[in-house]
Amino acid sequence: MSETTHKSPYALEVRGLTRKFGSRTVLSDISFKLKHGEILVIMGGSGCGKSTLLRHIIGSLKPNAGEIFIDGTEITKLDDAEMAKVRKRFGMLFQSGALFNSMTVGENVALPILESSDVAPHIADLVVKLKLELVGLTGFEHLKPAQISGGMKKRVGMARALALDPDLLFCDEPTSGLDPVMTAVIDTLTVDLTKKLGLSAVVVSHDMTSCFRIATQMIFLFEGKIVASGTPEEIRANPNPILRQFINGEADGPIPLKLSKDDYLKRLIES
Amino acid sequence: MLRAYVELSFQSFVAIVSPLWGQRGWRLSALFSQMVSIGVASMPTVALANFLLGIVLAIQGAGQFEKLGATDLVASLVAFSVLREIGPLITAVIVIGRSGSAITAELGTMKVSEEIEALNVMGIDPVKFLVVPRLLAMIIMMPMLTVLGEGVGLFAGWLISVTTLHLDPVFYVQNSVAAVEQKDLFSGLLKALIFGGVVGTVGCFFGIQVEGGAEGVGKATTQSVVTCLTCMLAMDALLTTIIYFIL
Amino acid sequence: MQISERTEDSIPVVSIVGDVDLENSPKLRAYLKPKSAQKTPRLLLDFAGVNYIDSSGLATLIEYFQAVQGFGGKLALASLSPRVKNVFEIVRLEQIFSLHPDVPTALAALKA
Repeated sequence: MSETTHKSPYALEVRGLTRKFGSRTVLSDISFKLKHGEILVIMGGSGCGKSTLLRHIIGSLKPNAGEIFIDGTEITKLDDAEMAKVRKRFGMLFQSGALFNSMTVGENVALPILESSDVAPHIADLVVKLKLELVGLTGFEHLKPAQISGGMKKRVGMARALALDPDLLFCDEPTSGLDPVMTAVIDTLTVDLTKKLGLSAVVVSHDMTSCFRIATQMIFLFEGKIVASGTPEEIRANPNPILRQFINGEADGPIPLKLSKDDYLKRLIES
Repeated sequence: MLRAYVELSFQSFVAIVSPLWGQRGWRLSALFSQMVSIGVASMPTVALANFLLGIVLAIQGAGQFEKLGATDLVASLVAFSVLREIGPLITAVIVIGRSGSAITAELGTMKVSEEIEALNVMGIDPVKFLVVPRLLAMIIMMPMLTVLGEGVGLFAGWLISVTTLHLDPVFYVQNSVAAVEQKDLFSGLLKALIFGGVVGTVGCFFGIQVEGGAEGVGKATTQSVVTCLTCMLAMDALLTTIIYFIL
Repeated sequence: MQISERTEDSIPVVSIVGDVDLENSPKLRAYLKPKSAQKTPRLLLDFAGVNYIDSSGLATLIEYFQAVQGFGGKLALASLSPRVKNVFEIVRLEQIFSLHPDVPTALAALKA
């Protein structure tokens, strides 16, 4: 889409998002904004609710409270047909790649193009070639997902997410399972897309090197709450002990494990 | 759960008939590949099962009719029980075991590997993309497999009667033809059609409901097979009652 | 999207106005198909009115480029906005397409 078609100055805005599974609150009063052309990185340990947050933003889950605006459109109350329209402007890279195993790599990337428009198959083939080159997989279109490695599947997933030239790209752990060189390739690609094409991206990750390399905005989730947010510089300077432990990758700190020790000894002795 | 199943079935049938009013058509290539994996690949097993049942029917029947001195009646027993009941039933059992379970396992695996969510995010309706080709293939192939199964079953009955019971081959055929009406053939095929719908919707439903990784897929597949068999037998009883008393 | 054509120095100059996206690129494709079929030796596409081009638009241009290779036809693109140029550059297409800041330089390049 051209820049002039933006309805809102924000590609994404989340207000007071809360989600409970049973009595457990997994997301509590989450609010943030993302301007067009920026990259938001959502950080946090396993089970902190970051994937759940992403699933709400893409409309797979509905919140108990709060609102989500995608370029000014509130999506939590949309029906399936209206949501499908909003999703036409999304690209999503799933953690496992989520490729269709019965189709070749090329067919996987071509799928969203052929499904959403009447373009000729030859044009779709050319688009597939362009996208595979972006992720460094030129010449792999005839292989089946079962014949390529996990990291390659993820890159094919990225190519598929970019197939329709989305305005908004969502990535769930885009670099886990990639070697350092491929991680840099994917990071550079994400930054290039935002800088050169004005794309906005939301990246869920716990790869600190990659996070600081690409982010323009960061939020840090801990037990379903935002405990720190800001630019990478602000996050680096933030003294919050939980955040510090996470960034520095220390085993000892306020993040549980240490907390469970007493409990563990008690349980061990009790029975 | 029942509500979700009814919803899915309703959506699927709407999606199947929607090309009639100008919506985007069925995915023919997906439909054909499903027809091959559900139908063509089941043919040998369906034929074998019906062949064996045909033999059993003829021999069991002969044992009873011999006491009455009416072995000739074996022909009519085999003919109407194969057409009305055994053919559709045993074919459905085979298809449930082979293809109903495969549908659940395949869709379940797609669910746990985020593929179904990926379809949603790409704006592709999983019902149209995944459920419709499988359900439609089931509805088309079940009656066809039933016709094949019935043919083989009848042949097996004839073969065993002629070779071991020493019935006259031509007389046997004449007896069979005299014993059945068109209604018997059509009621059997109607059953097969409905079994196809049941197995297709139940198989897909359990597949896309899967949660909890590989273990969830296994559980759902077992549940799917058990539910398919139970629903199929319940439908059979219901349809038999309707056909017997009302038609 | 509007497509209009004029001739300058016996070279067809095709002006495109609007977005070359999934919806419109089939129109451009239908316009370019006869051009390559007639073996148009030189063609200039004026992108001054193009605000946005997507991958299907690029693919349409690549397809034309492939088709004219057979008879040595030339293609030049003129007046691309920085944003449109970026779309070409991100997939390194500036290396095969001849991109020019304005129509006169593009014409000069085609005549060379």
